[in-house]
Amino acid sequence: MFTMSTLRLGFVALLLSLMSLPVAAEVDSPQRPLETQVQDIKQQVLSLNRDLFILEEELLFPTNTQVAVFLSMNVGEFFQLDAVKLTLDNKTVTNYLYTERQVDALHRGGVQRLYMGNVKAGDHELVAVFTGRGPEGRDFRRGTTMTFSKDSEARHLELKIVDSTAKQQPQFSVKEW
Amino acid sequence: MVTRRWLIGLLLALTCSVSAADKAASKPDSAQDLRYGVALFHFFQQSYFNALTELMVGETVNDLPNHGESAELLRGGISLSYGLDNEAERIFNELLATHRSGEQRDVAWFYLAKLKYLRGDNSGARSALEKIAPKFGKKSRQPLNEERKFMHANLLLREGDIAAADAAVEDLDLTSTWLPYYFFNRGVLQTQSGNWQQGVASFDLLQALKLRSEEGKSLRDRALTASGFAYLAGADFARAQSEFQQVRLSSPIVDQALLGYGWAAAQQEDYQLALSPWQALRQRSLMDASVQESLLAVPYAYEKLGAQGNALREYQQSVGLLESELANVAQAIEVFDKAPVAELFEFSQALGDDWLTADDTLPINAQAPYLAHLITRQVFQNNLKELRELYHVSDFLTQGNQRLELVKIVLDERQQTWQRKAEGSQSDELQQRYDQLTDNQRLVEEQIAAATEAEDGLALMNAEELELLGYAQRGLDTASSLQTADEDVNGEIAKLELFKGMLQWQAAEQYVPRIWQLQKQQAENKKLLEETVPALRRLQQIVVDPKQFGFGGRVAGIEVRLAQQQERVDAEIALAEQLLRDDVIAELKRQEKRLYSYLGQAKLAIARLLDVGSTGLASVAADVEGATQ
Repeated sequence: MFTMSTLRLGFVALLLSLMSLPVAAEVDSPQRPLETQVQDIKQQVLSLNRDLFILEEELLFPTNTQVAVFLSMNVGEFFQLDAVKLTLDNKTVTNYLYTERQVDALHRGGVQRLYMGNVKAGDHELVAVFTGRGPEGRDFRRGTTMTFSKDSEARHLELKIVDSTAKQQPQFSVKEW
Repeated sequence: MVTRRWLIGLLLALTCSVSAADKAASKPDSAQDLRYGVALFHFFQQSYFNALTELMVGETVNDLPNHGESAELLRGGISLSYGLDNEAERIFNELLATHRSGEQRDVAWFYLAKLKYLRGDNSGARSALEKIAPKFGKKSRQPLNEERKFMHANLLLREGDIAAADAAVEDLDLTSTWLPYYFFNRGVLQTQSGNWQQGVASFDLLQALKLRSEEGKSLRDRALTASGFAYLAGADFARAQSEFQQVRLSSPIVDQALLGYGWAAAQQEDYQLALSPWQALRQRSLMDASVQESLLAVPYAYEKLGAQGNALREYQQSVGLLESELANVAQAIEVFDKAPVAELFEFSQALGDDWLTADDTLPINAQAPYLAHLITRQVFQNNLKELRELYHVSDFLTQGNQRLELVKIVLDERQQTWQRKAEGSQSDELQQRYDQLTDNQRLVEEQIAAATEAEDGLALMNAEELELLGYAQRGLDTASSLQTADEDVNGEIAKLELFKGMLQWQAAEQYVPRIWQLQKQQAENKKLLEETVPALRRLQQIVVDPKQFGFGGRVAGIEVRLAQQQERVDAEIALAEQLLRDDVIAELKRQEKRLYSYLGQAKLAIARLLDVGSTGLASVAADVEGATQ
C-alpha cells in the first residue's frame, strides 16, 4: 500500500528525473567508440565525395566547354520566388521550383548552382524567366536575357534578384564571373 | 527537446547571416566566391554533408580566393554541427596556429571552448574562453558573445560559485535565448544540493521571462513541474498545486504535472480533487511511469474516500490494464528482437542533416508509444542519430557508385573517340602538320640567321628583286666584256651600277620590316608547334595507355575506396542496430519489471480489500456489483 514515505520518495524521484533531462548545451557524454567510428567514416566519405565531385567536374564539364549558372537573391522584399525557367540557345535546360526552405537559404545569402552544362566556343544566349509573387502579393513574371561568349575558360554566370527600393520593384540582372 | 547540434546549427546560422526578423533592415553580405555562396545555400538548409563537400572542393581546387579564412572557420563550425568534433577541433587549432590576432581567432577560440565545454572539460573550456578578446562583443558576433557568457556562467555553476555565475550573465538581455537555460540550470543545481527554496526562486525567474518559442514554453513547463515537486517536498502543497496547474496540457511533461497535482491535493486530504488529474492520467500511454502510478493512485484515493467498492473495481481494472500492457510489452520485445531495425523507425531525409525532436522522427508502427518514450533519452537519441547517419552514408555510397558508373561510361566513350583519332586519319593529319611546321620553322630560322649575319638585307630579297639584281649583274658583266674589246659602254655601265645600287638600297631599307616579319612568323610557328606537340603526344600515349590523362587511375582509386567504405559502413550499421535493439529491449524489460511490480501491488490490494473481513465483505461485494453494472 502507498504510504507517506513512499510518496515522498516518489516526489524526489520525479524531481530528480526532471533534473536529469538534458538542457541546452549541457554536457554530452564522453565520446563513445561508435561515435568515434561514425565520425571517422563520415570524414572519409566526405573526402571521397570531394574527390568524386572534382572528377565529375573535370570529366563531365571540362573548362573549355563548361558553363554554369548560379542564382542569388539580395533581400527579396519585393519578390517571393516560386520558380525559374532557364533557356540556353532556345533550349530549356532547367525548370526549377523552389521550396520555402530553399528560398529562405537564398534570402540569407546562399547561392544556388542552378545549372551546369557544356557549350561550344562562341556566342550563346541565356534567357531566365522568374515566376513568383511581386509587390503587394501580385503574380509576377519577369525575364532577363544575356548573350555571352564562350572561350577556353569555364564560364560562370550569376542571376541576381535585387530589390530596387527606388522603384519598389525587384530587379533581375546577370553577372559574369 | 533541443538537441546540441540543432543549437550549434542555429548559432552558426545566426552568425553567418542576419535572421529573418531583421533581414528587411539589413542586407546579408553577398558571397565573394560563388562556391562559398553555394556552401551557404546548402548549410542554410541544414544539408551539412553537401556544404562541407563544397567547401572541401573549393579548398582543393583553390576556388575560394576571397573567403579563405572565413571558409575555413565556416567549415569548422559546420563540422561541429555535423558531429565531426575531432575534425572541427583540428580546424580550429590550425586556424589558431596561423592567426596571431583578430576576430577569426576569437571565433576559433569560442568554438574550441564550446567543444571542450560539451565534453565536460571544464578547465579546458575556461582556458579557451579566457583567450577571447574582451572586444568580442561587436554586433555581428552578438549571438556568440551571449553564448560565451552563458557557457562561462555554467562553468561557474559547475564549480558551485553561483554569485560569480550570476555576474557572468548579468548584462544578458532578458530576451536572450540563453537566459532561461541559465535559470533552469541554476535551479537544478540549487535543488540538487538541497536548497529547495532557492531552486524554486530560480525557476520563478525563468517563468517570469517572456518565452514565446515552443522550446521556451517547454522549458517553462519543466521549471513549473520541478518547482511543484520542490514545493511538494517542502510540504507547501498549495503552492505546489499552483505550479502544476500552470503546466500546459500539450506539454510533453504534463503526465508528471498531473500526477504531482494529484499528490498535492491528496496531501491536503482532498482526495476528490486528486481523482480528477489521476483519472485523466489513466487515459494516457501506460509507458509513462506517472501513468502507471495513477493505476494505483486512483483506487488509493477511492479507499481514502471510503468508497471501497469503487477502489476494488479500479484495482481490478488496473490489473486488466497492466496485464494487457504486459502482453503489449512482450509483443514489442519480440518485434524489436526480430524485425529489421530500419523498418522500426522513420528516417526523414526532408529534415536535412539535423536530428530534431521525437515528433519529427516518430516511427509509424504499433510500437510508436514505446519509442516516443525512449527517444527522450539522450543515449537512445545518440544511438539513433548515429544509425541514421550511417544509413545516410550508406545511401551516399550507393549513389556514389551510380555516379562513378556514369563517369566510367563517359570515360570509356571519350577513350574510344580518342582511340579512333589516334588510329585514324586525324593522327596522320596531325603528324603531317607537325612535319610541315618543323620544316617551315627550320627555313625561317636559317633565313633569319643569314640576314642577321650579312646585315645588308640581300638575304631577305624576294624572288622578283633577286631576278632584277641578276639582270643588273649580268648586264654589268656583258658591259665589262665589251669594254675590254674597246667598246664605249661607260654610259650603260653607269646606268646599270645605278640600277644595282638602287636594288641594294631598297633591300637595306626593307631589312627591318622583313626581319620583323620573319620573327613574327617564327613565333607563330612556335605557338602552333606548342599546340600540336602535346596533342600528338596525347594521341601517341593513348595507344600505349588506354586510360588517358590519369582519369582511369582516379576512377579505379575511388571505386576501391567506395567498396572499402561500404564494407565498413555495413559492419558499423550492424553494430549500431544491435546497440539500438539492446537499448530498446533493455528499456522494455525495465518497463515490464515495473509493470509486474504494479501488478503485484494491485493484486495484493484486491486481496486485502476482499479480505477486509467477513463483516465488511458483503458490503464490498455489493459495491463491486453496483460499480460494475
